[in-house]
Amino acid sequence: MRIGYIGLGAMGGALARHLIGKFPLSVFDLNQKAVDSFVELGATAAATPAELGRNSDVVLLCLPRSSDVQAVLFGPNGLAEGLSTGKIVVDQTSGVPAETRDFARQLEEMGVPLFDAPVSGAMATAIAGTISIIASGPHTAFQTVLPVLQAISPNVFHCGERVGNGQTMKTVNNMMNVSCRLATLEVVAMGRKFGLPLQAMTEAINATTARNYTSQGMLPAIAEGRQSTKFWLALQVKDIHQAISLAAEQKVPMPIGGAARSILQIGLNTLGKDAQLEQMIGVIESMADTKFVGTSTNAETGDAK
Amino acid sequence: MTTIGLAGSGEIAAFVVRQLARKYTVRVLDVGDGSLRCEGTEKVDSASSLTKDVDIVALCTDSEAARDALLRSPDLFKSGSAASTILVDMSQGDPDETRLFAKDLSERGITIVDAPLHTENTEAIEEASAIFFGGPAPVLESVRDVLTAVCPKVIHCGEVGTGHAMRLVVASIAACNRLITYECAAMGARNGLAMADMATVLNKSSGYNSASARVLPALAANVRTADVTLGTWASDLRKASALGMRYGAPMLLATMARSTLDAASNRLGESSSIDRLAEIWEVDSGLPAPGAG
Repeated sequence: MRIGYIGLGAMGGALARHLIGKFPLSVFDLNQKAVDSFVELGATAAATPAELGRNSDVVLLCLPRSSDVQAVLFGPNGLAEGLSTGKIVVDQTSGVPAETRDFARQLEEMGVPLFDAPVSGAMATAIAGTISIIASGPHTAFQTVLPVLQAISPNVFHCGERVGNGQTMKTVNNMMNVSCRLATLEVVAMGRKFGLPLQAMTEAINATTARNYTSQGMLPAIAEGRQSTKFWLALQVKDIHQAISLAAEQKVPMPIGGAARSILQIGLNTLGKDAQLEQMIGVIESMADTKFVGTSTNAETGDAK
Repeated sequence: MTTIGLAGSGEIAAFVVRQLARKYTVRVLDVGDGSLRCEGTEKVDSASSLTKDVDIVALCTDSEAARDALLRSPDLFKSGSAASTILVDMSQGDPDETRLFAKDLSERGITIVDAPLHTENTEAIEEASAIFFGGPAPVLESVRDVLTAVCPKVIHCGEVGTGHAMRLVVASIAACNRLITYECAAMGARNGLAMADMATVLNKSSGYNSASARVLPALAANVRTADVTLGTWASDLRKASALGMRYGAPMLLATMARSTLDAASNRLGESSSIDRLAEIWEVDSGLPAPGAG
C-alpha cells in the first residue's frame, strides 16, 4: 500500500514519521525544510498534492484548518486531480465536521471514500506512538487503512460510519480538557493564596474525584519546573471556538466552556499570536496575583484581600 | 475500648457514625433531625454529657449554625473529665473561622483539628474519597486509627484550617469536573455522538477526568454514581467562592459552577442527588431523557 502524507507540521510530521520504513511514503508540505527532513529518511517528495495523489493508494492529511483541507483538495494542482476510484483519503485535521462531510460527499462522486481520523493527546504521545486516533466514516475504508493508522499508534477508535464524528469527538475532548485544565489551575491558584502547598494539593486532588488529566500531568510538571504541553495557544483557541460553535448550532448551553473560552482569549490577546498553551499557567497566576511555586501568597504574608 | 463522642447532623455524619460504630464505642449527640441513630451507639442530649469520659470528641454537622453553636458552647468539655481535650472537626467549615475557633479554644485548653471528609459516594469510600487533616502531626498520629475507620485515605495538609481549605479546593474541582462532563457530553450527544463511544474515547484521551470516568458509562447504562446531595455541593462551592473573594482569587469557572449548582439545587431540591444534574443538561440541551427511546 503506497501512502501519501500532506502536512508535515509539528503534529503531522510526528505522525507521518511513524510510517517511514513501514510503507512506501510520499510527502508534501509548503515548508521545504520539513519535506527535506523526510526525504533524508527515505520518503519521496511530491511537487504538488495532485502528484502525491497519483502516486499513492491512501493519502493522509494533517492541516491547521478545514479551509486548508479545502484548498489542498480542490485548489489548483489539488489532491482531487490526482485521485481515482479505489483510493482513500484520511483527514487527520482538527477540522469542522460539517465541512469534512461536505469534502467526503464531493470525493464520493469520484469513487474516493474520505474519513476523518484526528488525533488526541500531547505531542510527546504523538512522538512515542501512543496518541489516540479517533476515526469515523465508512467501515470498509476504515478497515483497509487500519494497518496504516496502527503504524502511527495502536490506540485507534472508530466512532461510527458518519464522517465527522471523529472530529466532533476530538472537539468534545478538547473542550473537556481545556475547561478542566483552567478550572483546576484557577482553583489551585486560590489554594495557593490561602497558603496550601502545590504538592499537597496535587496529592489531594489526585487521590479523589477532583482528579483529571491536568492534575495528573500539568500540576506535577509545574512543581518540578518542567513543561507538560507543547501546543500553540492560537490553535487551542481555534479548537475551542469550534466547540462553542458546535454547541451553538445545536442550541446546547455551555456556561463553563464559554467562560473557559473567554479566559483563553484573554490569554491570547495578552500574550500574542506566538504564545504557547503552556503560558496560560502564567496568565492564571497573574489573574490571581500568586505563584504556583514559591511563597508569594496572601496567607503566607498574613493578608486577606 | 476507645470511646468516641460525636456531635453532628446530616447524611455524612450518619455515615461517619456507622463507620465508627463498627470498631468503637460511640456516643452521639444529634443536633439535626434524628438520623444519627445507629445500632450500638449511645444517645446523649447535651454537649457536657457527650464529652464526659470519652477518648476523642468529634464534630460533623451539615449546619454552620449548629457547628458554631457547639464550638461556642461553654458545656463542651465542661465536666473536665474527658480523657482527651482534642476536638476533631469533621464538618465542612470555613478555614479562617476554624483557625479563629482553634485560637479561642486553645485558651480553654482544647485542641481543635479539622478533618473533613470528601466523598461523592459513601458506598465506594475506598475509591476516590479522602479525609483532609489540618493540625499538628502528633495529633494526627493520635487520631489516625479513628479517621481511617471512616475513610482509609487520610492526607495531612498542614496546620489547623488547611484541612477545610483543601476540601474546598477538592470539592470545587470535583464539581467542575462533573459539570464540564455534563455540558460537553450534551454537546457531543446533540452532534450525533453515542454516549458509550464518548465513555470509551474520552476516558482514554486528554479529556479524561474523574467524573467522565464514572458519569459517562453511568449515563450510557442509566445507573447512579453518587449519594451526596446538590445542597451539600452548592454549600461547598459557596464557601469556596467566599474564600476566593476574601483572598483575591477570581475563580471564574468555579464561580460559574457555584451558580449552576445553586440553580440546580433550587430547581430539583437540595436533597436531590448530584446525579440528577444530568436531567438539567438533558432538558436544557433538548436531549431525550434516559430510557425515553
